[in-house]
Amino acid sequence: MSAEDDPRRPLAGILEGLAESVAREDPEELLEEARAAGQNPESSADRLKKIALTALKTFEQRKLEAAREAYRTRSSRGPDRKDKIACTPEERRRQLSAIQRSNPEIAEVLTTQYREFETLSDEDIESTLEDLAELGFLDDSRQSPDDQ
Amino acid sequence: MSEPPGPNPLKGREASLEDIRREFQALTAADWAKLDRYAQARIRIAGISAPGRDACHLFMQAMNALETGRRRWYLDNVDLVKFLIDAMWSISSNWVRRKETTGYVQIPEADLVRASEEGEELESVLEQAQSQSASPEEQLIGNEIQTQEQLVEEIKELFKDKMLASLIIDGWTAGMKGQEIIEALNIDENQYRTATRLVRRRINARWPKGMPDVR
Repeated sequence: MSAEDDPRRPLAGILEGLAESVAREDPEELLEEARAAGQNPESSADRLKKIALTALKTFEQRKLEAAREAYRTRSSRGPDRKDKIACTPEERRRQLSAIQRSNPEIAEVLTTQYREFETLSDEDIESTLEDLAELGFLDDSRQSPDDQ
Repeated sequence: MSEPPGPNPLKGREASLEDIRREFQALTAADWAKLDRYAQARIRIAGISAPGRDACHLFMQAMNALETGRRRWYLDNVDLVKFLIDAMWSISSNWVRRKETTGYVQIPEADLVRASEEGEELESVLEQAQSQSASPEEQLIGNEIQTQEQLVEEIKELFKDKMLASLIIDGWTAGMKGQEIIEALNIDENQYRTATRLVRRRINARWPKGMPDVR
């Protein structure tokens, strides 16, 4: 069936043409047209604007809530254990010594791994502390994770 | 947005939520009037295939597509009004297509409820559609409603004294787009716009509350 034969098509074509003419029209002209037709374009525009801004606000609130939920989930895991590693190389060396003293089994493993503790580089010490932090030994340097 | 906004070498920068908010705030009363008028015009087209939907619903759908990143807005390429108009065209055209291919329009659950001006939920589109089922009395009245062909004839009659407007209407009824008509009639954009303004104004004057329903 051609467009001409289908009785729905001519009307659909006119409506499409009218809509397209609106899309390519200058907004000020449309505002004027609506006023001339006795309509209240400001009121319709306000209604649409409120809908848009409400939708935006709702969307932003949902995003904010999702961010809050993600933060709560992270917080519930407790503080990052690596935050407990001392800040300076000297302090880190002392921290590792303290862990060794209070955890003989760790001292044994570390001595096997690093036969000469005093010659360990700052990077090695930091890396070892990071591993121990992951294992929970920095949660309380005087205790092993099994004691907690 | 579904992905962090960022530059696309081919399309430019994708709008962030902040960009969207800023651009919405910057729209003029005339811009809003244009969006409203376009939504009304598209709903009149889709209304034949998608009863129970209104201009606000169509606009909300376009907003939703923008916010969720289902349609991406590259703000260096197109302004917000044009973006929303394209989105509304695409959404309403889909409604029409779905109706034509399946015989009905499947409304996703998420689309069924929309917010009112104050933010609370309004009755669902489905409820609106259900409430529009015709009673026997309404069906009798419906039989008196003019046909689409009669309405087309009445529209054509409005422009029999205006050659260019009449030719444009003929082009539209044949399914031609604005640009095709401009080329076929060898006129310029200004002449086309002037004639289409006359068409809209006369139609507005004939049916100030919108064109009548047809069967």
